[in-house]
Amino acid sequence: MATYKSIRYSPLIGPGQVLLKTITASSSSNLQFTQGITSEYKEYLFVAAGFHPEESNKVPQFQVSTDGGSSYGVTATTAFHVVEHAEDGSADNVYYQASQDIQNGTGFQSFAEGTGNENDSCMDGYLHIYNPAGTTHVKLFHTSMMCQRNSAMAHGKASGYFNTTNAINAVKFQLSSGNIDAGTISMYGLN
Amino acid sequence: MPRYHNINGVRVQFTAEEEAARDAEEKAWQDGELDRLLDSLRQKRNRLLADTDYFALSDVTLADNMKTYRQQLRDLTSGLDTVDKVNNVTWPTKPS
Repeated sequence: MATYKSIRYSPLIGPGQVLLKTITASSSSNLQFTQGITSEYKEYLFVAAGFHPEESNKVPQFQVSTDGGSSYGVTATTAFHVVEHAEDGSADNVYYQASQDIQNGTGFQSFAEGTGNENDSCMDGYLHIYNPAGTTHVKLFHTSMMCQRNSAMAHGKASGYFNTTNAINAVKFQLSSGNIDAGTISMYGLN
Repeated sequence: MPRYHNINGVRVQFTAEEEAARDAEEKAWQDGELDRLLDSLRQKRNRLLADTDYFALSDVTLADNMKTYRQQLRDLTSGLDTVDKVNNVTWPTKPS
């Protein structure tokens, strides 16, 4: 009989969800998935765990590519909003972050507020992209990412679409500036 | 310090062109920081104003301290022309 040292459980991950790749940051400017995004799965899930910036208050962002990662900058229209609450109760807000949405533009989409770079600070969350390899419809996505900074929590949610009927075959994650000190992003295919 | 991509788990150093492009990208983001902070601050300020709107209805007498509080909220962004000023803004206290 097997002896297990731990049981790992995530409500996001279950039957029909196949781990395709995990990339571990180590003072990385960006993390790129340029392989494995195909028509085999209709939905892809990217789970960020223990994302830790080298510098404080840097915002995680992502963009996609239709040329295998040679270029990132597919036109998108998106929305981004945040809920936050501080330990001292000073910030209990829900707000739309108009300065970090995209209106028919090609920039990187923010998917959380910036986190602190203290040793115990991190960001965790996920990105769903639907049918990235499809060639009929635009590519819809949504994200959910939590972070801790300045003794407060912030939960960012971005959603929208990449306005292309070309297949998306690469995804790039980065911070608004500076390096990703540590953390992983795992890519899952969802049946 | 050179930058590195992590492409499918492989560490790849930036080219000179990529370094320049990233420098420009980071500068553009940095230049927009004040606008982003002000955007967040206004969102919170507007919500606090909305929370006390009913005190200003025509059939309610608006107390002086509430009138002052609401004016302080409206004036909150005045003079906030640096990131430090926005980060250290002092919010008015809502009258009990």
